Amino acid sequence: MQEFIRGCTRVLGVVAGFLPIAMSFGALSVQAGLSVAATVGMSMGLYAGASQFAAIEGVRQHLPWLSIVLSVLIINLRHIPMSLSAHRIYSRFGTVHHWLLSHGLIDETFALEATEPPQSFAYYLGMHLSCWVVWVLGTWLGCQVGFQLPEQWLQFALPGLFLCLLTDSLRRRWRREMTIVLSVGVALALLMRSLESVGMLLAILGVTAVASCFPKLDESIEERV
Amino acid sequence: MNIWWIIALTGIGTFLMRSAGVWVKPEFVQGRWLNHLPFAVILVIAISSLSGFTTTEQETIRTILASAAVIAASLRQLPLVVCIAIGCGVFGVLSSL
Repeated sequence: MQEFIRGCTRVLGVVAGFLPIAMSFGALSVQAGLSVAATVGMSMGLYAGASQFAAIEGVRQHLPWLSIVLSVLIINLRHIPMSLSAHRIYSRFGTVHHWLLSHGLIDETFALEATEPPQSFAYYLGMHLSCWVVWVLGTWLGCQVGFQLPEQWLQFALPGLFLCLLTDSLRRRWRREMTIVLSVGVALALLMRSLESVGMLLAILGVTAVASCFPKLDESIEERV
Repeated sequence: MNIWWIIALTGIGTFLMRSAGVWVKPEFVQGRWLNHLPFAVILVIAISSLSGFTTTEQETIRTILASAAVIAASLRQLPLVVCIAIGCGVFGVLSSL
């Protein structure tokens, strides 16, 4: 139980950032004509911010169902390499636990888990469950109260989280070669921005490919482990 | 098509992607490139999310200052939640000026 609570507290910053986004989604979705049940159902079952916004935009524009489904799946393609990488952390828990943790594998939990030493199953479950529950509750709340959100103060929570993890990651594995990887990463992320989620996936794979060209960077990871 | 079918199909599809680590052959998971994937995800998402705050000059300045505050807090090795709170505080205060 202690481990579970430790996992829950680890994601406090994430859930603070989640809340206004989940509420915005709930408000927009109801405005687009979806029922509260379908809106909350989407947050429970799909649980993927950007693609949920894309789905309700598709519904609002009366796009064909196949186009909506394909858009959502394309946006979520980045979960495949993330899941392959997370397998190294989850594989020691057994298949059932692994399947269970898979649903909670989102950008934020992945980034947190990848930057800390391996933890217990209860710890990861606490992290995943807290994020999921806040996302679902935030969606429901957004359906009820609309756009009266404390957005201004929490807007920077998720960018802040990733920036913090990036700084920490750079501090721990710094090598001269990292300047090249960093420059390429910044350039790719900005250049591919117009392609939205597909661009993000391409940029992630591009940075991974460039980093793989430097064996010294592997050493820095091994030292950390 | 019923919205529930869309939710079901996208939910199942996304879950299959998220669980790729379970059902993809282990040989594929051994690749060296996967070592660098977490850093790549963090870097690209950090840059993408920050660049979303640069539509106006004022917003850019707010973002730069809030980012500097988060980086400074992170370098001082403050707890994650404190670093995020500092960033949100700086951004919120500058937005309300």
